[in-house]
Amino acid sequence: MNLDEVSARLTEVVGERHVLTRVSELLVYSSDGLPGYRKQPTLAVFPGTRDETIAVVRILAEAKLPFVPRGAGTGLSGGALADGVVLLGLHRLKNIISIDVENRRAKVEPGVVNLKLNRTVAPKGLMYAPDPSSEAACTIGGNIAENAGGPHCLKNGVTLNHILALTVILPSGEIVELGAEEGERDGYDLRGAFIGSEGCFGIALDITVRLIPRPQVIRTMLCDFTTVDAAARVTSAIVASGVIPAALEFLDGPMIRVVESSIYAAGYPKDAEAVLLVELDGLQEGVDADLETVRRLALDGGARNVKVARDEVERLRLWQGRKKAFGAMGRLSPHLVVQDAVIPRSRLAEILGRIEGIRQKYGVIVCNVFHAGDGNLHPNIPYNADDPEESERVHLAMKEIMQACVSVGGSITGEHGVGLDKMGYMDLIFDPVSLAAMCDLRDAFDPERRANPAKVIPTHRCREWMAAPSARASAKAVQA
Amino acid sequence: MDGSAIGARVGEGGAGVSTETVVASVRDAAGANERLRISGAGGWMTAGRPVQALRAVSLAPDKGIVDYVPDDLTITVRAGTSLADIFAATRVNNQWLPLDPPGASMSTIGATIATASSGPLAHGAGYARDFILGVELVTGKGDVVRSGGRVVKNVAGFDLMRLMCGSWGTLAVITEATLRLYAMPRVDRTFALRAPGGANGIEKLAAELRAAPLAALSMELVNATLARKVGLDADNFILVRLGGNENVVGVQMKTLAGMGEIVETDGVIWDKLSEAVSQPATFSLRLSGLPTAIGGLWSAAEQLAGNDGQTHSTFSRGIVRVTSNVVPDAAAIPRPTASQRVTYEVLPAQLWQSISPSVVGSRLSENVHDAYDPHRLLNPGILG
Amino acid sequence: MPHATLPSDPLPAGEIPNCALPGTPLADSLPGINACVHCGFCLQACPTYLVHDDENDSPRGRIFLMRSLLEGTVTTDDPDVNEHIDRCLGCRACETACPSGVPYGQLLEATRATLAIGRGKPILARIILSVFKRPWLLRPAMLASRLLAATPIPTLLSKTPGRFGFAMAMLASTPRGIERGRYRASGDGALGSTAVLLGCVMEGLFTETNRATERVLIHNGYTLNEAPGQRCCGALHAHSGDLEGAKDLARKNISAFEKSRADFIAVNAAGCGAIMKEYGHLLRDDPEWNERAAALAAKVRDISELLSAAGPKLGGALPVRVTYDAPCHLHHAQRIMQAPLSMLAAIPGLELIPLHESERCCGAAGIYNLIEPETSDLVLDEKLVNVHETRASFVATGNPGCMMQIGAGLIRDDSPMRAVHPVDLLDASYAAS
Repeated sequence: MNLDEVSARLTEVVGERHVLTRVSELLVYSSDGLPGYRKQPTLAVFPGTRDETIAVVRILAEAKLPFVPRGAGTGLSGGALADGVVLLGLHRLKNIISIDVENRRAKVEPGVVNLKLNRTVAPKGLMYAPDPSSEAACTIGGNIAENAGGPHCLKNGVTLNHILALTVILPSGEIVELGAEEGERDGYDLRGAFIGSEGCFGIALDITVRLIPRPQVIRTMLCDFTTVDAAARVTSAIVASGVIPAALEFLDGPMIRVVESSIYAAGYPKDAEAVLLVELDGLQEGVDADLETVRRLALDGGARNVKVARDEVERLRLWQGRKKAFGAMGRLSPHLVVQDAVIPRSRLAEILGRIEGIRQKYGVIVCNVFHAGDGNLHPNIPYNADDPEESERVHLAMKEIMQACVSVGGSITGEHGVGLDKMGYMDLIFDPVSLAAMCDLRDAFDPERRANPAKVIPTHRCREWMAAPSARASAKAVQA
Repeated sequence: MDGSAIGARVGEGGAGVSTETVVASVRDAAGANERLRISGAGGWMTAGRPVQALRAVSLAPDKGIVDYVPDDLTITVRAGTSLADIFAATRVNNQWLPLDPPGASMSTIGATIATASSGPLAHGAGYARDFILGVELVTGKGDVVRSGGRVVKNVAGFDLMRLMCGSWGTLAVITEATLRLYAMPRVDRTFALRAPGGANGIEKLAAELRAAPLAALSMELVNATLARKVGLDADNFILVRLGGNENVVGVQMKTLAGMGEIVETDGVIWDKLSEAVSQPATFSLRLSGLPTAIGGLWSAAEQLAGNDGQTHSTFSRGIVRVTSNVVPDAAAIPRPTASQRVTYEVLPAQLWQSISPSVVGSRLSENVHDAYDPHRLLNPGILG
Repeated sequence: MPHATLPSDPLPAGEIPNCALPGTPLADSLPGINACVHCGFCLQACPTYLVHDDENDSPRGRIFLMRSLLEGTVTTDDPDVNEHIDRCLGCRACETACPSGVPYGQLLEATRATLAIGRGKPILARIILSVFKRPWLLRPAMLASRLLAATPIPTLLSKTPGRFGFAMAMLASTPRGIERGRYRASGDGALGSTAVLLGCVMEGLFTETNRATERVLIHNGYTLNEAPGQRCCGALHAHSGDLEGAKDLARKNISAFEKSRADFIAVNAAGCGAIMKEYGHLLRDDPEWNERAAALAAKVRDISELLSAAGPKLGGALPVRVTYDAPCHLHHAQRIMQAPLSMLAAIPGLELIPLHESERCCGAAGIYNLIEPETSDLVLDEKLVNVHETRASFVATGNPGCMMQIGAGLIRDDSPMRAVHPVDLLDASYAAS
């Protein structure tokens, strides 16, 4: 089947409006949430129902065409970019299939927007815990692909901890049930293997998520510091104290000043070198006591001020600075690199010092805003990508920051995924044998390597990359 | 001991087990075309389908803490390290790994992950799959593979850690694991709430407890046989473990008292329970379903338990486990239905084939199995 | 005085190498395009994305097309580009969702102006825009419409298929206001002087609402100044790419309102208020007018802002069920969210029923409902589902386009519910006291 024939068959399934083939229509799909990359798909197809999705995947299987699954295109690792292959958008599958309040679970299609699910279950006193910063736009299917986290995963866990079951269509067209909607499932934890597989293992047709009760009370406080060191130490002290904050977020001095001079000013003290945003939730009595514990730890640890939001308006304002931090940086310069690395929490002060050194060495702006409770750093560098010299400096600085994080035992991504952007760093943390073993897992799900090709694992690390198992099998058949 | 290794002769209980020796064992076994029985402390040796293996490797001797930085709340240990050792090492810093599978004191971390076993703490804290941050493995091909890392949040690469949970050593031998720790609750109190007998009563109380403003660490329903063994009256009880600061425990205690007759018990009761439910049995299984279906699951389990069997339930997760030394008639052994799943732990050897020949028979599971243990060297047949 | 603020910090500079459209309004807007970090937060806020499920019909996608036009990867005569840019409602809901403060409304106007260089507009759009520029055509047209609206004819024809039927339904909805008594408005005039923008459609079809506007302003302590010579605000022209036409009208209005010497320009049509607040931007490159434009823009207030600043004064009991639909150009463009609710709160006995997705566009969008009927209907259908759910007697919304769009939808659905201006309700309440 050539591409025109495939396009005709896909059109029969999903209708003309939902198959894009002209370059001018496909342009906007050449970029996801990380606009530093542009990759042009050959065709984009948007099935609107489960049956259409199955039919589309089977047509692509028959035609042996590689494809890239895409949710809302908000990912920050270039994972949803289709480089000369088919783009399969799942954003039209947006039905919430069922909500079981008593058993605290909901079954949704992959294109359901994270916040939409939360708004729907909120009146029932429930919530879906993972809350990536892109919650207003990102889809549950995309969250599964990336094993998404968010500010509140410190207490409640990441996507992996909240998915009970999935119905998945493998790239071959076979449909499998992973996990169990009710009760336990024996055998291999293929649900666990699938979550975070970045679209390389197949497409979730429906997803059963765990819901948890909404907290009785939420209290948010802002602690400000004159040194980064003190804020880092207080972070450790809070985590070690037995208090499990719902969120523990860190903004450094440069970030504070960017936010405060933008329209999103949240009232963070401009002369502070760091602020910690601490949120506590749970039962009223417990939260009140924990609040005092955190206040004491912060003040003992050198906090200049501890301010507790008095009402919902103040609370949302404190969060505003954190949530709009990326946007505020968007106004500094035309482009922005958002990095995502994880370090052991005890090395926070040290790494922030090293990042400052790297910043000076390359003459770039670095703003740090991150999930301190998890040690999940997000150093951001605003720059102008149309300036090749500046771009090069930014690239080198980012690489050195990554190397510094890895050197203390960290990871190259905490929640954004490897995608296209971080493939080059995989060698820093995994040896060739381990990378090959990961390729083997992909091959178990997708022996033809057609789903989201050339992502996550650098291809030269996949054993026998040149001859995929299917190719070997057919070669054998020919010999026989 | 139907499931135990037959005629094991290599590496059994030997000292000096390490990643290198495991690699050597796997490669030697592959060279000799002989199968390998993988175990930890041996607590689960009677469980699973019969394993035919001439060689054995116990990971129990490969124990010890590789790395523990209290400020990071993470610990890296060799696979043979017992949960008790991890508990002892971390409690000096008021930290813990909230995992209490049957026989917790002797269980190795490797076996706990491989068997995906859990205990009452699963109610509030979750399962091994929720704590595991990184692993080192030796696959059935003899490759040493690492997945994950030592930090608490990590999405780099495909997830082989979760794949190990519940794989019963059939894909790879776990040699090392990094786990997430939590600060121990400052106050940790346990209460026993007397529970009714029938399915309806259990279902109603369970629903009330689920809906109540409680954030308990554990809520475990035990039957009369178990209650007696842990020092309570011979009646159904729900053991509730409350943790946190003094205020939050206090207010929850009041909530609990409003729901029925409660008595505070010593926290040691959890160790006793773990001990009691890990006693060798000739028959054990878990029934699971939706939390709202707990009444029916409980009644079915109680029927299987008879007079002397033990039944306990992490009812918020919809799981009931029964262990007994009386094997019911084959026809009376429950099979999976639309609303009830069954996880068979210990069955007479001859019954496996007819009741549950395999749980890894799907094409996808076969593919995964092929990817890591293509020659079926490791614990062959234990999952089918 | 509470006054909604718009993003004002500088936008990122930067250049596109080899810009394909130098010197166009779009090229001048590059800093606004640069501010977009492609995060996608706008997607779920965009009514056309939600009904078409294609990013080409989303703000992020359209901004990408704008950049592509400048980069030369697509040309201004590309039918796909034109289709997706045309299909934008201009509701600016993306602006309130945007964390980077992208001035989307301005980008859209610049893009439409740039695309208009190379092509004509639909004939219907050309006629409408032309009429609105010429008072000697506009006044008789409005008078004829008003006379027609007073007959049963529009209602009878309101279900005729196609745009004609919809236009009749819109017309039929205009006299369906609220019955109210008379009262003599009096106040101390302490809050300052105002000149009311009469507006083309407001004065033409909602005359009674304009008189009510004057009464409630007086009742709340403002005085009224005349502003003879005022014209159409130019919003329709700016939104559809006729920037020169918009600028002409803006200059005439600036002169007229300057002469009124009023402290505030009171506007009761959200779309008109939004463009008048942006006169400074519109005339930024006109050295003769830019300062005057900015000075006048700073005096423009929505009627709800003026009344909210005054309290407003409590009225008499009006036992009605009302739901509030936020006009896009009030909520998103002017960021006025609370003030209209404070007007309704001043009415004892009024029961306010929350409208699900109140801030989502109704599909009117100026003349969009006449030239992009298919998308407009899809958007309106979603709005009507939410409106019907409230079971209110009145939908209050402070913009003539929205009143007619929702009003027409209600007539076609045979609903007894009516769309009115919040000022009408407040006025009726004052009449009842």
